[in-house]
Amino acid sequence: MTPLLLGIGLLPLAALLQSSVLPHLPFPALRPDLMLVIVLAWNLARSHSDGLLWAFAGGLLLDTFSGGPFGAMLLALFVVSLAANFIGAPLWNVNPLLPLLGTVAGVVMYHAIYAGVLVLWGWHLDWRTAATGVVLPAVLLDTALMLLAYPLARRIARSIALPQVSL
Amino acid sequence: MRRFSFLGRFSLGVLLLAVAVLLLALGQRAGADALRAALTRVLTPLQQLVAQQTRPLRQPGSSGAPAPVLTQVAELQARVSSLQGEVTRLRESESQRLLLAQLLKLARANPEYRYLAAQVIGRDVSPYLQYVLVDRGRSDGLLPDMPVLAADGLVGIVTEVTASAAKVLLITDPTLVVNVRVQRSRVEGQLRGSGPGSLRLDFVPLQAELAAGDQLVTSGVGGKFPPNLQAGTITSVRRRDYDVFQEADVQSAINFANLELVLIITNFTPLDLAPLLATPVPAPP
Repeated sequence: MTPLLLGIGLLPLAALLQSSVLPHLPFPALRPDLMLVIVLAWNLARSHSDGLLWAFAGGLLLDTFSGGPFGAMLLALFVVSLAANFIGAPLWNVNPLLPLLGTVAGVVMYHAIYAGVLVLWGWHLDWRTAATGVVLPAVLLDTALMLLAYPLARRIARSIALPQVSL
Repeated sequence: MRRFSFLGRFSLGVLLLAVAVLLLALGQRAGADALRAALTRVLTPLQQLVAQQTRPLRQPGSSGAPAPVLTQVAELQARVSSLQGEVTRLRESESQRLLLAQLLKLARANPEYRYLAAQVIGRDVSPYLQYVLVDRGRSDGLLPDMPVLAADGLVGIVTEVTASAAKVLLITDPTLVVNVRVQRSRVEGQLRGSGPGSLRLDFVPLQAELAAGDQLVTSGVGGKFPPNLQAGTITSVRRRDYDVFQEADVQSAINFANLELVLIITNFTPLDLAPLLATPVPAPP
């Protein structure tokens, strides 16, 4: 399976789950950023152009299901993915803790960019509530999800990577 | 080769980042709006399907029986499972019937309006925004600014409409201000969201009579919502002598986390008061 096909199957499913299923689970305040975790795991595991395409498509899908400014989630998701992608998979693989630290930084950066855009576009945000009621639970939940997502993404990335031959 | 790959990736990254910024800058303009509408058109049927298939997740006691080991047990389990499925379906029909009966009661109580029932098929993916998506759109006669109700009162307002779906901004969102009146004392104030699922009443004069348990209804002031729609109940009042206004916490009777069916008022035209509110400019001498 190519990364493109995988993304076509996985990303709309993630967007639909995040919009229609996760809000109805017990403890509605604990809403993981499923799309962010999937896209970030892929970019941490595989520094390739398909990770950027995943981030772009994932952001567009999220914006479709949101009433916020169109492009806000796209920008937040893309910037975080771009950073993870360009730091590079080999560096993330040096220590098992690094992807988790990267996730914490990525989730904070994602929410900071998104909230910043909302405020710039005239939305009213209570920063204290946002930090304690949204960002902190998201960091914990997304990092916990990354414990599953990153090894899975690495395994898939390895299985689809072409063998490198140097002459 | 590796250097070329990095350059290619870098170029792609810069290009996509530029497109993302451009889309954000375009906002609601034609290009971005058309893209969003096209994506919504494709994804709405899928979302309706997912919403229907996952409805049992919201209903307690709907899990199936575990897989059996023995044949006889398996048959019995299958029978139990089938009966449980039947019970779930009947419960589902009953809850739907109850919901529709409540909505019908609401519609009969306000016969001057025309209503359109819509099912909630999704929620905003952003934790900062309080929107829901409903399965009715422009083809059903929906327009932006139409008020949305549930059996227990005001839900919000339609903000965005595509051919087959619409986005509804909930009254729990801090950006939506609803002018309300306290039923008992006839005092007016402004109701707005103050966090997920909670509401706050503000701009009530300090000397006005306000108490826990007071019912709030829409006042109709501002022309955005029809008057006399149930908006919530005051749970606590904060009054400080040095403030100009007092404020109160308000609880809506609606469970916004489990909203399933809503009614949209299709024959209410919001008033455009902006020209009347403009500051008059003195004529030049």
